[in-house]
Amino acid sequence: MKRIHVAAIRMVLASLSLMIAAGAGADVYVQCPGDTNGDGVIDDFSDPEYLAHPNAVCMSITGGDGFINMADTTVTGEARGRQLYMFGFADVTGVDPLDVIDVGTTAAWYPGPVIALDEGDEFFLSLTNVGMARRPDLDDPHTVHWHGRANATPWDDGLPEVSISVHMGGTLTYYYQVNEPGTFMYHCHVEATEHMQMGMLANLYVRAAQDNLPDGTNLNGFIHQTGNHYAYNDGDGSTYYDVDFPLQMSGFDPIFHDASESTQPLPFALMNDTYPMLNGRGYPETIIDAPLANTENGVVSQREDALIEANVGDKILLRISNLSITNYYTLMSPQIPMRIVGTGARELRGTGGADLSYHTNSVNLGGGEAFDAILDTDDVAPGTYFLYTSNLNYLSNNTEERGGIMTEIVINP
Amino acid sequence: MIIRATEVETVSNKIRKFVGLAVAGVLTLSFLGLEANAAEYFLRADTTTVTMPDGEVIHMWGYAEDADGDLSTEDGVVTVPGPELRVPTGDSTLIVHLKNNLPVPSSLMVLGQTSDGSTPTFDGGRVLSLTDEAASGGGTVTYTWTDIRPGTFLYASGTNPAVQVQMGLYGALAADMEDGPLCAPAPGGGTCYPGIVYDEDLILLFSEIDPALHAAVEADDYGPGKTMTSTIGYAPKYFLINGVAKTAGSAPIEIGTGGDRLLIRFLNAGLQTHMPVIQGFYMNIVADDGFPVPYPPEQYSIMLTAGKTHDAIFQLACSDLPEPIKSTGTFALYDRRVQNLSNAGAAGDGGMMTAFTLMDADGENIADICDNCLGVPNAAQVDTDGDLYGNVCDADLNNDHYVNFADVPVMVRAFIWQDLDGDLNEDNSVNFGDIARFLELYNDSPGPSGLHSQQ
Amino acid sequence: MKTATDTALRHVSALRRMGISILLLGWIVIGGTAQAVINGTTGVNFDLTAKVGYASMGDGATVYIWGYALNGGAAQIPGPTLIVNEGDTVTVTLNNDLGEAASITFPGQLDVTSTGADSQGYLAAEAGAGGGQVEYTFTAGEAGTYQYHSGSNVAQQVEMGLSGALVVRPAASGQAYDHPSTAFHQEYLFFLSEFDPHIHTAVEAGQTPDMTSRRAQYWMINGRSGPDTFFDDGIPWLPHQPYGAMARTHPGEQVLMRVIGGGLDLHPFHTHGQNFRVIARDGRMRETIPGFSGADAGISDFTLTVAPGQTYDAIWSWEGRGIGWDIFGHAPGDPCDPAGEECNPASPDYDHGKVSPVTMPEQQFLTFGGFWSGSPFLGQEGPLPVGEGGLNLDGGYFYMWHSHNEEELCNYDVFPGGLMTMMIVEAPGVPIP
Repeated sequence: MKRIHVAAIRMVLASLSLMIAAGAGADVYVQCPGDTNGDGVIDDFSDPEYLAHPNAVCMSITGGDGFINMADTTVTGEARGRQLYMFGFADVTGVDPLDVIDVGTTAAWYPGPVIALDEGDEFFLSLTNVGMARRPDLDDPHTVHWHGRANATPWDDGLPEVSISVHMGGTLTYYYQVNEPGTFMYHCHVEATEHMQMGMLANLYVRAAQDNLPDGTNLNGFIHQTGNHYAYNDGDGSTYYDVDFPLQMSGFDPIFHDASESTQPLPFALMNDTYPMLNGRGYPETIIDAPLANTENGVVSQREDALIEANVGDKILLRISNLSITNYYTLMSPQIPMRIVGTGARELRGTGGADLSYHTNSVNLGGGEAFDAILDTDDVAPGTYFLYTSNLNYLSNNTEERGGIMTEIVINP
Repeated sequence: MIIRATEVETVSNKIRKFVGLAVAGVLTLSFLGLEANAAEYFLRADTTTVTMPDGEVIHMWGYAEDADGDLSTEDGVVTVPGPELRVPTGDSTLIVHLKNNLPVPSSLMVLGQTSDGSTPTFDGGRVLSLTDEAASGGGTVTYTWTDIRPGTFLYASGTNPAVQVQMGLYGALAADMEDGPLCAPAPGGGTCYPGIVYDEDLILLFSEIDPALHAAVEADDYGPGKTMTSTIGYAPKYFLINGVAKTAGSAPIEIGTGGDRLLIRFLNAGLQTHMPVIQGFYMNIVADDGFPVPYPPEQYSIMLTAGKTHDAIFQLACSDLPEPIKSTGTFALYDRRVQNLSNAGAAGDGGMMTAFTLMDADGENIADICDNCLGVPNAAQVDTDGDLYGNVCDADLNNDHYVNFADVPVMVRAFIWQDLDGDLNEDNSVNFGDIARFLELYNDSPGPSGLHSQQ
Repeated sequence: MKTATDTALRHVSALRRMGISILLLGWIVIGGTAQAVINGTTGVNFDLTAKVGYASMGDGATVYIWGYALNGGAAQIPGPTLIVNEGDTVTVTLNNDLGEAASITFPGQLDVTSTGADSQGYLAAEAGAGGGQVEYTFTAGEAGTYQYHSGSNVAQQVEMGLSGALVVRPAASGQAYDHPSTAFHQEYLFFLSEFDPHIHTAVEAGQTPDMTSRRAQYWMINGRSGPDTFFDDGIPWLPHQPYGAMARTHPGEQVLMRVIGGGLDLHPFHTHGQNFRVIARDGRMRETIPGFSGADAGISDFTLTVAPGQTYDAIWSWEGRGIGWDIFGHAPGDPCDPAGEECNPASPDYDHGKVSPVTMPEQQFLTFGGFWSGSPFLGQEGPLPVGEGGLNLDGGYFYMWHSHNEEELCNYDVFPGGLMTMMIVEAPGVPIP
C-alpha cells in the first residue's frame, strides 16, 4: 500500500514538474520584431513588424543569481580568490526560449552584459527573471533601469515602486528609442540596495550618429572619414577617438554576500565594500585579457576586463561610470592626462555652444555618475602606464594588498 | 651639481619654517628670469616621527632635502610633507636625485607628469613601483622631467603607494610658466597659467594620518603574513594642513595685505575628499591638476578629492572686508567635512582648520589693506580731504601728489584758519605739532596707503 | 525560519505600510499642499533660537537633535529657510538655549557683522550658553541659494543639526538669478544631510563624541528620511521636521532645483527621468562672461555630486518627446496637444498616435509599484489587481530622485528609506498649487 502511495505521489510530482517546465518555457516571451523563434535574434527581415522598425536591435538577458571569484589569490593560495554568491544579469540572446531558464539558472555575469548601441537604434531588451535557485525562499522580481535615459517614462524606467517589475519565470520587454549618444549604465532597481550590492549592474553606451556621416563631410574644418568614431555629435571632431573602453567601478561587501548565501539577515547598516573593482575585477585580474570562470559551478561569470591597449598616437576614450552603492572613487591617470569631454551622457558644452571640456589627472565619481575621458597618446612613449584610484586604501582586494581599482594602459609603438 | 646655491639656501630656510608642530604657513615668492634652465634637487627618503597635538608620536616616512647636493652626507631634516620643490619661470627641466634609506624599495613620481624613460617594476604579476625604483637601504636613482608642464603638482612615492604615500612620502611641486605673449609677470610675482598673473603664492597641502598603519610599519607588522596585510581598513584620526593639525595655539597664516593677487595652491595628499571653505570671501578657481579651467568659476569652497590639486586666485579690496575683519584681519579656512575638524576625537577644535591673517604692520588693529596710512599708527583713520590718504601721512594739501613748496602756503592757511586738513597728528587741531609733522613729510609723496595699494 | 511568505511580505510590506499610513491619516500625497514655491520665512528680520529637539526617522527611531527654531518655536531640521531679496539688509537674532556657546556663519555672504556677542567662536560671533544672544547683520548680496550653519564647536554642532537654507531672490520674480536664463515654473529645495545616531546619543548623554569615527546611518532630504520625504510640509507628527521633499511639474516646464550640501558627506543625487542642467554653484551663476552672458556655462548631467558646504542650482525639464509611442495613448485621429506633445509630423520627436511596439506581460507575471497608475499613459489610470497601486490619483509619471549611494536608501538597517523623494510629472491641466 505504502509503496503504491509513494509511487503515485512520485508520478504526480514528476508530471507536475513537467507541466511547470513546459509552463516556464511558454512564459519566457521575448518580443523582437522579425524574430521568429523568440531567441532575441532577428531572422525574418521581411516580417512586417521588422519593416515597421527597420532600426530594431534586440537583446535577451536574464536576471538571477550566480557565483564569482575575487582576485585575492595570495590569500586563498589558489588560482582564484575568494568565492562569493551574487545576483546578476547574463546574456541569452540566441538561446531558445525553452532553454532560457535552464541556461540562465545560477549563471549570472558580473558585470552584466555590455549593451552597446548606435544612436538611432530602436532597442528591444527582454529581461527574463530566472529566479534565485540558491535562494528558493526569495521570489524577488527584477527590472532594468537604463540609468540616465532622457525622457524616460515609468513604463520603461525600471523603477519598481512607480512601475512594473517581472516575476520569476516571466519576461518583460523594454522598448527604447535611442536618441542620445554617450556613456550610461544599467542596473536592477528592485530593492536597489540589495540587488545592486549583490551585482545586478553593467555598462551601457551609445555610439554617436556622427560616426556614420558620408566620407569627407566637413565638420567645421575637421574632415570626417568613414570609420571615424566620436563620443558625441560634436560638430567639429573634438571628441574623435580611435579606441574606446567602458570602465565601471563598483565594490562587493563579502559579509553581505555570505549573509545572502546563507539566508541570514542582510547587514545594511554595516555595509562595507572591501573588494573594490573595475569591470567586476580587482587588480591584477583587471589586466587579464580573458574571461574567468567561477569555482562553484564553472560558469564564466566575469567576461570583461579593464586592460586598456592602444598604439602611440591613438586617442583613447574611457567611458567611466561608477555603480558602487557605498563609495565615491577618484580615478587617477597620473602619467597620461585626461581630457573630459562629456559627463552625464552629454557633451561638455554650454547652452550657447561654449566648450566646457577640460584637462585633468583625476575624476571623482559617486554612484550613478559617468564621465567620458579622452587620453591623447601623441606625446606618450610606448610602455605600460597605470590608471588607478587615488583613494589608495582601495588598492586592495580585501585583506590582500596591491589589488583593487587599478588597471594598466599599454601603449604599443 | 647645484645650479643656484642661493636659491637652494632660501628653500632650505623655508623648509625649516615648515618643520615643527604649530607654525605659521610661509609666504613663498616665485623666482623670475634666472639664467639656468633646470631645477635640481637632492632628496633622501627616510624615517622620522611627528608628534600630534595629543602627544601621540607617529612613525613616518618622509623626504629630506640634501642641501649640499651630496647624498652621502645626509644633511637636511626629514619632513612630512616633504620639501617644496620649485621650477622657476624660465626653467623647463626638473631633476630629482633620490636616495632611499627606507627598509623597502621606493621611488618618486610627480602626479601628472611622467619622468623621462620611466620604467615600472613588477613583482608577482602586480606592479610594485610605477616608476624607476631606488633600492632599499641607501639605493639611489635620478629622475629627469624635460619640458615640465607648469602648474601645481603633488610628488609622492610611486612604490606600493597605498602604504608609502600614507606613511608620509609626499610634497608639493610648483612650476611657473615661461614668459609668453599671454603671460605678463607682475612685479615680484609670476605667471602660472595663460592670462593668470599673481603676486604671491601660498601652498596649502591637506593630508591625513591613520596611526594604525604607522604603528604596524614601525613594529614591522605590516605585509603578507603579518597582522596588517592591506590598507583596506583605513580610518584616519588626524587631519592636517601643511603638516599642522589645529590646536588652540595654532598661528594663522599670514597672507600679506590681501590686496595682492594671491595664488593659493591647494593640494590633497590624503585619501579622502576634503572641502576647503574660505570664510566670508570668494575665490576664483583657475586650475585643475595644473591645467587651466575653462571659464574659471567663483566659489567659496573647493572640492579637493584625493590626489587632486586646484589653484585659486584670491584677492581682496578693503571694501570686501566686513568690520570685524577690518580690525582683526583674521578669517578662517576649514574643511567643511567637519568630522575632520578633530584631533583623534579630543574635545575642542582640531584637525583641518586654520586661519588667514592680513598684515597690520603698524599694529593698530586696522588691516593694512584698509589702513590709509601704512607703517604709522593712526587709529582714528582721519582723512579730512577724502583722498584715501590719512591725514597723518598726507601733507600733500593741494592734492597734486607731491609734498613740496606749493603745499606750504596751504599749510600756513590751515594753521591760521584751523582747517583740519592740516591736522597731521589726529589731535583735532592744527598747531606746531602739525608743522613739525609737515616738515617730516616734506618732499615725500602722500601715503603709503593700503587703500591705494591695488593697481 | 524565513518562509517564502515572510519574504514576500518583507518585499511588499514596506510599500504597503507607506501606502496605508498615507491613506489612513488622510494626508493624500496627490492634490495636497505640495508647493511650487520654496516653503520658508520671508522678511528682513529673523529670530532664531538654538535649542534641543527630537527628529523622527523613517524606521520609527527618534534622534536627539540641536536645531534652529523660528520665533521661539520648535527646534527644526533643517533650520528655517530664510527667504530675502537681493540688496536687503538682513538681521538675524540668535538666541541660545543650548548648554554651550552657539553661533551662525553665512557662507557666501560677504559683509556679516554682529552686535552683542558674548564670545567669539571659530567662525562667528557667539551667543553664550543658556540664554545668550547675538545679532548678525548682512546685506543680502547676490541672488542665489545659500546655506547657514553653526560657527561654534563646528564638527559636533553641524552634525547635531544646526544648519539651514538661505534663499536670496533677484529683483525679477520667477528667476533664480539676475538673468532670464534662470527662469522657472516651480522651485524646490533639496537640503541633503545625514546623522550618525551614535554621535547624537553620546551628546544626549553629555559625552564628547569622537567625530573621527563618525559613520552616518540616517540620510535625509530636507531633514526627513524616506518615506517621510513624501509627506506634506508641516505635518503634525513631525514637529521638528517641517519640510517635505515631493516635487511636481508638467511636461515642458522648468523646475528649479535648489540643492544644498548641508551635512558632512558627499551624495550623488540622481534625477530619474531626465538630465538637469546646473546653472549656479555657491550662489554664483556659471557664466562664460561673468555679469553678462547668464547661466550658459553650466553642465548637463543625470547625477549631481552634492558636497558639504556647497550649494547648487539646476534646471530640470521633462519633455516626453521622441519616445516612439504616444504618452497620452492617442489614436492617430485624435487631436494633438501641443502643451504635452510634438505636433509637427516632420519632427523626429513626433509620436502622436504611435503605439508602442511591445506589450506588457500578463498581470500574473508582474509586481506593481504603489505609485503605478495601472496605465503607461500620462494622466490615465488602468486596471490593477485588488490591493495594488492606489497611490497615484492623477495618473502622473513618478520619478524617484535619490542618492545613488544606495546604501543611503536605508534607515539604519532597514531598506527602503533614506535619501529619496519623488518628482511627479502631472498631465497638462492637473493643477499644482
